[in-house]
Amino acid sequence: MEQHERLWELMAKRTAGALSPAEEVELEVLLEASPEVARQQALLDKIFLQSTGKPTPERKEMLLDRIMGDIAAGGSQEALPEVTEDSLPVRRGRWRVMAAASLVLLLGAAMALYLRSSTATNAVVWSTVQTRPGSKTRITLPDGTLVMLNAGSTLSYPSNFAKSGRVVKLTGEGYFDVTRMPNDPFVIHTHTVDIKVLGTTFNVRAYADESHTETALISGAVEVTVKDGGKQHITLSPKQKLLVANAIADTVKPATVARPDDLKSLIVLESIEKERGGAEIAETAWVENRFVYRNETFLQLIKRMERWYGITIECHNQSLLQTSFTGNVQGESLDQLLGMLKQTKQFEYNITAGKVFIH
Amino acid sequence: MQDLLDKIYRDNDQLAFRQLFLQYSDRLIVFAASLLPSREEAEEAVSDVFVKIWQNRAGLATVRNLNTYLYTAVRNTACNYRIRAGRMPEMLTGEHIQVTVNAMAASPEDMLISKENLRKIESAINLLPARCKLIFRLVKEDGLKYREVAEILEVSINTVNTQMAIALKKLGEVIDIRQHFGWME
Repeated sequence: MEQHERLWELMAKRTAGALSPAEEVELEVLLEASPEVARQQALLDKIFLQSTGKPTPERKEMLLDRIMGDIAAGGSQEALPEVTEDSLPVRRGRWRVMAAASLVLLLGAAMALYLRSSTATNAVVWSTVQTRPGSKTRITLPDGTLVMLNAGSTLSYPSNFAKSGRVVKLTGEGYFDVTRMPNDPFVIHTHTVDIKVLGTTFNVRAYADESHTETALISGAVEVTVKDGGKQHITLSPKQKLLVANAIADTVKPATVARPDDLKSLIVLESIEKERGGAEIAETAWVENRFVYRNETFLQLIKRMERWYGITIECHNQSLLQTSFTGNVQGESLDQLLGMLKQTKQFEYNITAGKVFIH
Repeated sequence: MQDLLDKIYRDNDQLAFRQLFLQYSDRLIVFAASLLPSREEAEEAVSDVFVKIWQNRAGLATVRNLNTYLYTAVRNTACNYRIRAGRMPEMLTGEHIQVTVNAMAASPEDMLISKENLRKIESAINLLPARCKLIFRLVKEDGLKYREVAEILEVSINTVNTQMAIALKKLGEVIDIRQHFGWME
């Protein structure tokens, strides 16, 4: 009887992972003496519990909206960092380093003057937030929508944002967490596509110097309208991404003599794949300050490194430029990244006066 | 996890804050519901806790154990709710937290747990005394350590161990071993 109580006590400890090596041996001996209990407990080990009454994802989003609302209403000293027309954004910690190199250009006032003199009526002021290469910033829009703006990107929104419909313009890359407003869609205009959303999380990559505009949906639903190509509408499901060629007009010419890498279709819908051995996805890695490259040519990589680190890279080695690289780094310096790349494909580099020469 | 906290108090990162909520709200709401009479109140208590966490995010710098920090905050908030409503701040009223039981379908031998036995275990868990069930849940479902459970519920580690032992013993008793292994013999 006494022995049995000890057995339960040890089993309990084992379940909580609190067993010492000596107790482990002791338990083993006790279990050997009572095989019936050993079997019962082995079965108990294989079950897992799930409480009913857990909130649904929608319910959680709703609670989260309420929490963010409470926070926003909780007094001005608790106000969240925000870009407005008359104050620079508050940035802290790691962002400060990058922010030092960045400049947020607030063109609103100048734009207003220009519009007033040209049209004289109904001038809408557009606030513009711009990040330089090597910098990122975080913006909270008037409706509570959160935008992380990657390096070398521009986001504009009108002064009457909340009233006249939620519309923004984007060049470059942004990660959007759009506040849910069922009757008031949020629209992002880019050069190649327009994206209409209700309330959702997604990444848009629309750099002018890249071949495609990429919309990657994390949760919710968005509708993408391709501006050229017959105003095609495409609705994305979570974990899907849409690639649209930036220069449809140029590439759509009949009988193009396509080089192998031009064969990528003009409009492609793919599913977002998790990175090997992790729950992370490459499309939004930059938000976590990770630089991920997957099967990208050195030419593409150079453009991204220039933006990411805010430097200029020169390379005239054609075969190297067409070589593909895959990998990822977090918080590495440019020197360390180049050092890693150099190990994959032999090349030499030197850095002088903010410029990198590769040979 | 520490990384997430760093981002919240150092960088004022709202995305990290949302992530923290999405990761913990499930179990915190279930926990709150075991201390409060309704699920609505449980959700409200957890929401309150997260509003306060953001408002006092500088304090996150001193948090050593996120589990005990969050669960204790929920416990205290629930306690205050009860006092405000003119009820005793006595804990653990919520027998209404129901648990379902699943077999891990990882390997073939796991299939040995029959539906019948799963059902028996499930009802036995739900019939455990409130405190015993809560402790069992926190350890087995939420993966908390003895020390954490003891701290959160303000009981001794010994009590946690005793309650776990009681739970395991009762659950073991309801399992019909012959039903499982009969076919082998």
